[in-house]
Amino acid sequence: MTDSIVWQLVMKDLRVAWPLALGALVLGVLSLALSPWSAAAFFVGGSVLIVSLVLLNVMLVSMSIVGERKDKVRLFMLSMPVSTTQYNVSKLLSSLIAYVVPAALLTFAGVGLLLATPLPDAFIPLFVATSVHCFLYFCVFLAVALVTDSQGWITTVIVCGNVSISFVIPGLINFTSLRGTLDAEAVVWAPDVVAFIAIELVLAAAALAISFAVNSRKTEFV
Amino acid sequence: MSNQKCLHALDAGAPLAELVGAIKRYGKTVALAGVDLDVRRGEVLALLGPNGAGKSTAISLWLGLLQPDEGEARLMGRSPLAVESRRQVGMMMQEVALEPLLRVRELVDLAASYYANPLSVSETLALTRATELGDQRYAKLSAGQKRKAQFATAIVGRPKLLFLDEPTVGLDVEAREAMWSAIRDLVARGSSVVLTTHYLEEAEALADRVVVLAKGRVIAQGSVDEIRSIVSRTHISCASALPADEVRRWPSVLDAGRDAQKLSITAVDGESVVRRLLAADDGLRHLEVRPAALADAFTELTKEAA
Repeated sequence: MTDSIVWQLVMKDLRVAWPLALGALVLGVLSLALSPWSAAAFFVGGSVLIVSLVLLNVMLVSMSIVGERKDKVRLFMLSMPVSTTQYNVSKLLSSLIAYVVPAALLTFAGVGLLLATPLPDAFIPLFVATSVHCFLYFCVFLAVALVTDSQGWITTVIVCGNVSISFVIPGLINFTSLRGTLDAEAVVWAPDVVAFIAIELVLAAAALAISFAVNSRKTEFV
Repeated sequence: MSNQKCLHALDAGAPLAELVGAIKRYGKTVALAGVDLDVRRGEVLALLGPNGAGKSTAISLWLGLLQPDEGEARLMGRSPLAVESRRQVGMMMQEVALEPLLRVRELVDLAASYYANPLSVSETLALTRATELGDQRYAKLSAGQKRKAQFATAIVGRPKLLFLDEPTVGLDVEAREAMWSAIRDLVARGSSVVLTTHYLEEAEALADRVVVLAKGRVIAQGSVDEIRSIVSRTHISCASALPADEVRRWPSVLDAGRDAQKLSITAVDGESVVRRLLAADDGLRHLEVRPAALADAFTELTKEAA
């Protein structure tokens, strides 16, 4: 019954979240379709793609975690025969599925687009690293939203997450092995870029693990 | 954890839910100040008290949503945090919401999935007279319809113990009567109910036992009649020409007033006042005598506790 309850909760969340995930996917696909037409279109398309991922992240977590707590839906759920562990696991799983599926599809589609069109293939590591950074932003926001009731913290994470993207992309272009190589046709997975991706993935996993550990100790929900 | 173990933990005669010396503070505010309270099998327990008396805190302790700072809360003989305990409980709290984007049928179906032997969704909707709401999204329902949907999710698991926090707020008279009838049905099937309400006539109509809380303490408990008898007063009304000022000076009369032809009297010894009224006014008509209501006792008790 435990597995079944987690699954039921995940399905419930996905039933609510799928229009959001689909919307982000459609917006992302449109932005990718725009990209090959010109340099300006490539810039606009890339920006809209990032916006679609950020919107999905913020709206998904705000609706599924922050909104559910604010509207006291969480209180209802936790007074049912649902353990805090089941609730937390289901929230992690459903949020990850609702974000990762469209984000991964868009990332693969973007890589495919770069390979299949005259756009420089050397953009692929930058594109993947940016996508992974968006994933880290999502995981940190999800982790903070799961742990805290503070609107101040939620807002801080959103602001810092959005600003971080503006720093990460130029940072990767100017301070890693990608510098001066982005117009090449060859894909080069330089060690510093791979290390950046690996560190971001570790940080994402750590954020989720810490939030899960903190949440598991909570015994007061009113 | 098997049901067998659960039943073992809750042997016959044991209370379904208990607070033992429960103290709960919110900062400097004491919400419960050492409360001992139990819920027995097959009873409807009305938990009454003014706002801030500690009723919702008591229910939150029983449901495992809060932990006592001192003392103990037990549900089905064990910690309320144990899912097995809550699997035998249904809950309808005033300040919670259901997932707004789901339809009522989906919500009841989802709630049913948490229980081992739930009612069917259609049976539940019929019992709660919410069949017509089944395909509507929760967010689109009126306040009264939301209460019906919450009631449906509360009873779908065939609970042994049902917590109803202000269940009929926002319901019209007909819907309220229907909910009372459904509650009586559940009790007849063996459920126990903990009811908090500000409608004292609701407690009078449903409760086997009343507990009055004030400032985090139990200030009175007993059957409705026992609580009523705490306040020995009678309400008398009649059409009489006697001046209210004169009647107010009679022995055992607490208050007297006039509204057009109608004289209203509150007295400690109703019988002696009625005898004197009949003797003093030959033309007295439309005599009505009413014993103290639960509301009188409640007002008196909570005034004393304040």
